Amino acid sequence: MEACRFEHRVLHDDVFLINPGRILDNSNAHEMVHALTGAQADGFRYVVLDMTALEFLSSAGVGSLLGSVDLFREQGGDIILCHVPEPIMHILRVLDLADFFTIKSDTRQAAVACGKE
Amino acid sequence: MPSTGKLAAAIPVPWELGGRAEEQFEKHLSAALETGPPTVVLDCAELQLTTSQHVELLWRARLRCQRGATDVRLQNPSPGLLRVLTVLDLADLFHCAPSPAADEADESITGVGPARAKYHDSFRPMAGETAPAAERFEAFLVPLPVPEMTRFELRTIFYEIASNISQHAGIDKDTPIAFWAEFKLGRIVMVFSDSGREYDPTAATVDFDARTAAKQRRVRGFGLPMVRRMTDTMSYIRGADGRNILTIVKTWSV
Repeated sequence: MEACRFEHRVLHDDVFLINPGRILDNSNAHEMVHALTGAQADGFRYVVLDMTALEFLSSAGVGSLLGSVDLFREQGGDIILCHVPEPIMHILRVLDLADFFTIKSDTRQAAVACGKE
Repeated sequence: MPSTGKLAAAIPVPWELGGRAEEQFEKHLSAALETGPPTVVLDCAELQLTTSQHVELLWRARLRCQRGATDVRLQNPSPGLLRVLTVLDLADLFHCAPSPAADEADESITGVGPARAKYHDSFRPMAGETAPAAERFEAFLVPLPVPEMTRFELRTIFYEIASNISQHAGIDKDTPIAFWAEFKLGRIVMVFSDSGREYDPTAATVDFDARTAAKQRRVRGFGLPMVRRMTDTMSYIRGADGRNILTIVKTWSV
């Protein structure tokens, strides 16, 4: 995944972890789409997004996740959000996405959701 | 200012529109115009926060008065109303003067923060300027008694609308977008003004369904629905000077 512009690491054999940083908006949403599709193309069934540092999520950021999630789900995988800060959670609730996305409290719980540990 | 002679009692302009209060207003205006007075006075004390619908109401009233050669004078216009009328190039058509009481911004509520505050900014329609402008707006909100989640929503609303204008208004990158906000306890009015092509985002907005959007691999088009869900009202008018004026009102419980 040399093309991934975000901080990232392999969490398990088919689980890829991405840290989107402070902001996911118009400036980098396309890079997130690229990172997610790249991970899927590289054979990762799951992507865990560690949102610990995320301070702002625009509609473009939401779109980057929403437009990619079915790529994973159709292959039996998923995009899993964890460490979601309350303001970001609030945005997801406003958009009725809090139940649509798989959201876990931390990376360990996210790994469990991926069938690991 | 023309001579007004003896002025009839002022007609209150209602904040709540579309209901009985607006009917009453129209009825009072009709009654006042029956005698062909030189001037009709509209009391705008309730319009501490102004939307484009209020401007339209005032405009319709002015047209009715104009037909009978009656002048319109606005009483107690708030600074926000004056600003909107100025932006729309309508200030000269309504004879008005700010009431001293209405100009008392930033009055404080002890321990809570200012009960009223105003904000103005302008920024170029470029990707690199939108986010900093949104951050400046959020910084304005920090000392005000605005709940954290509401503040976050307001920053998001600002960012989405500013981005939308930047991307779709077709304006030159050196032509700034103007922004005003007027905060009053439990309510904020945000006004965006740009000189781009005529575009009514309130007509274009459709909600979305997450499952369908995901199936369609849709990555765009969530901004305006998002703003819709976070605001009370969003109204648009094309100003007399050819500017787009988008007014957004958001309220919250205090």
